[in-house]
Amino acid sequence: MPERRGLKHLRYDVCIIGAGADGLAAAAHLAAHGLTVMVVDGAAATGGRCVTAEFAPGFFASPFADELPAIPPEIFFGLDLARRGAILAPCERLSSFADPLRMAVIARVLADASCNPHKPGVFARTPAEEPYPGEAWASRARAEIESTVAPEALCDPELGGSALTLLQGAPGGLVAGGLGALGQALARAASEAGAEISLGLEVTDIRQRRGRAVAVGLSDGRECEARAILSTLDLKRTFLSLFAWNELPKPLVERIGTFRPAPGIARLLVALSAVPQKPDVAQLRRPIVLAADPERAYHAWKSGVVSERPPVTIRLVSAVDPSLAPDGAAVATVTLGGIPHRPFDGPWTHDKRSKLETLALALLEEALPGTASSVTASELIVPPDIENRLGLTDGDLMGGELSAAQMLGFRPFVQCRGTRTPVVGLYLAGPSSTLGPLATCASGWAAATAILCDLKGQP
Amino acid sequence: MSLRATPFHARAVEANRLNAWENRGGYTLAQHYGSLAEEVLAARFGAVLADLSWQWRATFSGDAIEAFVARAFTRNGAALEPGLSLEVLWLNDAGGVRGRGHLVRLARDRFLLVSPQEDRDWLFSAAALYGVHCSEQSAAGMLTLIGPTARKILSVAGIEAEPPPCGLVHLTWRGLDITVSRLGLGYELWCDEDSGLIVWDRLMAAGRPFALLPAGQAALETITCESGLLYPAGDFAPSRDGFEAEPTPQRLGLCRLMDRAHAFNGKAGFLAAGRDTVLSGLLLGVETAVPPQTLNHCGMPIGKILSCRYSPSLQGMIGFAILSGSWPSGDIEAGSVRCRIVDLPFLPIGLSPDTSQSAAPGGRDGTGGRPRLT
Repeated sequence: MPERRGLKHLRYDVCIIGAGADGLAAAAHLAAHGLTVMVVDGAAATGGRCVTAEFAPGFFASPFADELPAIPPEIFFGLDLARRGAILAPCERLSSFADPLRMAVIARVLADASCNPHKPGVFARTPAEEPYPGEAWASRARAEIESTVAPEALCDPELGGSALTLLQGAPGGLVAGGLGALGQALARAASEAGAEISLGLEVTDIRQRRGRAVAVGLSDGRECEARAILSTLDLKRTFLSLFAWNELPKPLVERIGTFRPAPGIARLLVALSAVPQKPDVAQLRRPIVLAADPERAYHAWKSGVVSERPPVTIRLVSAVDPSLAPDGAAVATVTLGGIPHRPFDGPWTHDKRSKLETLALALLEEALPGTASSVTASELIVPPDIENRLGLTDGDLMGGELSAAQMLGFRPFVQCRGTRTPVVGLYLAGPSSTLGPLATCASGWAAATAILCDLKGQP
Repeated sequence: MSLRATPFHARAVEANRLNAWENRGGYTLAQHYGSLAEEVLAARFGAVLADLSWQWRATFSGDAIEAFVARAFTRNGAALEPGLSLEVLWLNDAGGVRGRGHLVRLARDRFLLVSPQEDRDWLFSAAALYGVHCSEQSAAGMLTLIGPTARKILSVAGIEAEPPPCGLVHLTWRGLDITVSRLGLGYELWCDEDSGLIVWDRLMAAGRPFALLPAGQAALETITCESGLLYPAGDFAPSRDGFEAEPTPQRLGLCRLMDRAHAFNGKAGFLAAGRDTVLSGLLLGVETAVPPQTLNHCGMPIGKILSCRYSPSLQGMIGFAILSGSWPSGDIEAGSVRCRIVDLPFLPIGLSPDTSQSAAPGGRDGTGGRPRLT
């Protein structure tokens, strides 16, 4: 893990806000091309959601997700992540229906990123833009294509446009040692390429001069100038927290204010004193999805309540990676979809948490009979916990709802599609960007490509 | 030709969901039991159990055994302590590589050779010249257990004895006489033909909480390649003509297995074959395999690609290169394919991410980790 360094000088080519997967991938890409890069993160460790925590003595799990959307192979191989310690298990693919389309969207965003739309001296009329791949899905309902809905991408499957949730990145597989190993591998890639990583340091604001983002203010009172600023925070936190409201055009602020969050998730990390028994060991290695009514769960979430039967994925992570549990014991995770950030009757209280935990344990017992008696410890994580720990607005790991108005060329909104934003010099990666929900590291890679193109004229 | 079954064949039949088989050394073996990638990666998360009974095994014993092994093999086995082994080559008279294997000293006057390639006629004829008695042991069962939880599985199964690296121990395991060794990437368990199924069942039961999977030969090849070892059965064709000087150890990047301090068969041919070479790793920026060809830097040949394959762990194509001289920093080309030279192993097996860092490429100029020729 890179140690916290003091800032040697406060002028860099690129300042990256957030040391998550996208920020670190972008830092590695930019630094490898000779730019001076600083990554700033208020957290004490790199990785963002790529962390592994010891939630009970000897029991480890990744608190926010078991696995992330797959990293495109060319990025994984190019950053040499396996040799830096990120070994990913192959995952059981539920569907590969959307894979070609997802790859086409990634290719489109990368192609757009490598063309500078503001290149001086080019007066040719801009041709009409090709529609984004997959825009035909904007009027289709998910139920027409597939019946199952993962808790992480909950939607009303009967609604037009819900088919776009299928573009959510396919699981990339469990990481040996938990997601923290992936975060560390990315941090190694960035720091070995020459990027500086500064932890425990918040960015307080983004400063503009003559309509261009030119510096960030830091929580220690200093200012860091940069030729390009890349934010990997979510859309609302980037524009509504790091700019004064009167610095941005009112329509822009209003558009960002109406950006809708995705249904939240809750996670229960469970320490088991014994390994559950199943006749077929292979079943224990796979995610167990319990049947639920996604439409009901979606509308319950919109009303601020937890469905009686939310969509659930149960994973015995130690069956694939025994290093997460002591010998003879096991670690299971329960991921529940459609969990409101703020229940209709007020914030999350101890009682509400206890009820949700009881529900999650009952679902675990249903999936793996006999586990109730072997539970020795557990930790529940609800959306406000995610917001506190990761700084994501509303604890929304998806970075915004996957709906027709907020996907493809409309994500996060038309003027901000891809990676460039209406504020010259400011780039957006992370969960709210076009590629955020589609693949891990891809939005950071695309933003780095755009910055290289704009600053150096290199694709 | 009828194919033989190994002592573990009955269990392989039960586990082989896809009915994918291959022939190796005259035996019918599972190519893969389920997903190849899952089996390869299980060796990095938990452990895999694979059948090695197809390997050729022969014992040599007699009064003149030390003189024979010193002469026949490229490293001096006569200096070994009982219970230890050496990885060796044997060459023909002209210096061509006939075979590669592990030479194990079982007792003061008894050696065992384990090799993926059988060379009975050559070695047995040579042994006869020294009055050394030879016999084959290929009917016995041999399993390999590879992965970070392999040691725990053995302990849970009741095998506490730990053989030294490149060594073996004999023991009685709940009524069965077995041998445990560490000659390859993990542990090898040797047993009688009749007790093969019992050994398999005991290990699978002990490995249940430790993510143990059976692995086929395809996964074993990939794991071996990722670990930086040329897979002996597939990466070169041995010289079978007593006077054919090809392939030389230099051409295969196997100079590290040559002990110049002692006289061995084919030494003159080896010395005449030219400068030593270095076996190195290649990361290839393509999605399909590249055939063996010359490696260039700025149009100048610097070596040759030996073989390459897809690595599920690295999610890309990896290969072996034989480098014959020093080269400047920068990208290397194989035809139109850009490559990067890296240290071997690509990914050490059974080590934590922190320790595998030592195999990572070096500084920002991308030149770190390149082997240096001496």
